[in-house]
Amino acid sequence: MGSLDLTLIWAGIIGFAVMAYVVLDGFDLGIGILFATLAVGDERDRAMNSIAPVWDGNETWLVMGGGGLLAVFPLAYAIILPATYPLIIAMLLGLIFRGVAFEFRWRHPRHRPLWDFAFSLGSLVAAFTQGVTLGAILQGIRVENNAYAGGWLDWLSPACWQAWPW
Amino acid sequence: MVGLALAMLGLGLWSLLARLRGKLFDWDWLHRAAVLMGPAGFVAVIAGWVTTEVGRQPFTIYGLMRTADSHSPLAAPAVAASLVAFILVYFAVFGAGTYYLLRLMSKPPEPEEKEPVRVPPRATGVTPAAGVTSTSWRRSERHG
Repeated sequence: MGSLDLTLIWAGIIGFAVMAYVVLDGFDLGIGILFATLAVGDERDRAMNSIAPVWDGNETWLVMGGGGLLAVFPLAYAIILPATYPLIIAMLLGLIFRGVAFEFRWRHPRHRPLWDFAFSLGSLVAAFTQGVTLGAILQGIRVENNAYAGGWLDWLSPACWQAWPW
Repeated sequence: MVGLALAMLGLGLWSLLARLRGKLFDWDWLHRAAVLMGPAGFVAVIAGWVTTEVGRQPFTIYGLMRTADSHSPLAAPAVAASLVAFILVYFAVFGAGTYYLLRLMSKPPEPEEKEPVRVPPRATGVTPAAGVTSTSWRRSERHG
């Protein structure tokens, strides 16, 4: 561990990207989750517009974390992603609904409750699946011959539940 | 994709130049170039996608390896479920988007249209929702 090589530097960069994502997007995912409890009207509009200019920048840290993993640690990428596949897909679908709600909720007054719901639920699903992903990684991933050797629902095992905050 | 990106940057610089010279609205060739560049974003996205797919599995693409030997260790039901989920979500989101676009386009401009409320410059993404909720914006403008 004496020398500072490229592996270590990149691990640091990816670690930083993921940490930055957790802190920054945690803030606007949190607003998304609390959104359902806010009063309809001015309060919700303000909550939405307070994160509208920054949320996509915050989420880009996750792209950097994932892209960095693909580019620099392709083996880890090829093992971790199949192991958490349904979680990652659910997270992406949540982020899609949450992202379009920023624009669509203004387009039709009668549709707004629907997009408000999509915003809140999308935020909740994204944060929830990220927590379960952390649990799945902490629990350990079955690897044989440098490849993922588990099923697509291994992350559902009881040990993953320990990473949840309750 | 990179070429298109440079062309887009070039168009941006050209329009900046036109604005500085005060002829942004009457430089015909700039307008023609802007119309021509309209689909550039879509073409760039698709070109980048093809490059990624070919680049990340060249041995499969060029027939040196069988697909069965190069696929991810994912169960078929997982892939099928995610494909179906993406199709449903994309139809819902693009359907809604298309509906809102058509709705916007079906409204002809009114001859007596009011001047839009002037809002202080703001970052992208903050939508004041023309005609839907402008009360809070009007209020904050008066105070700010």
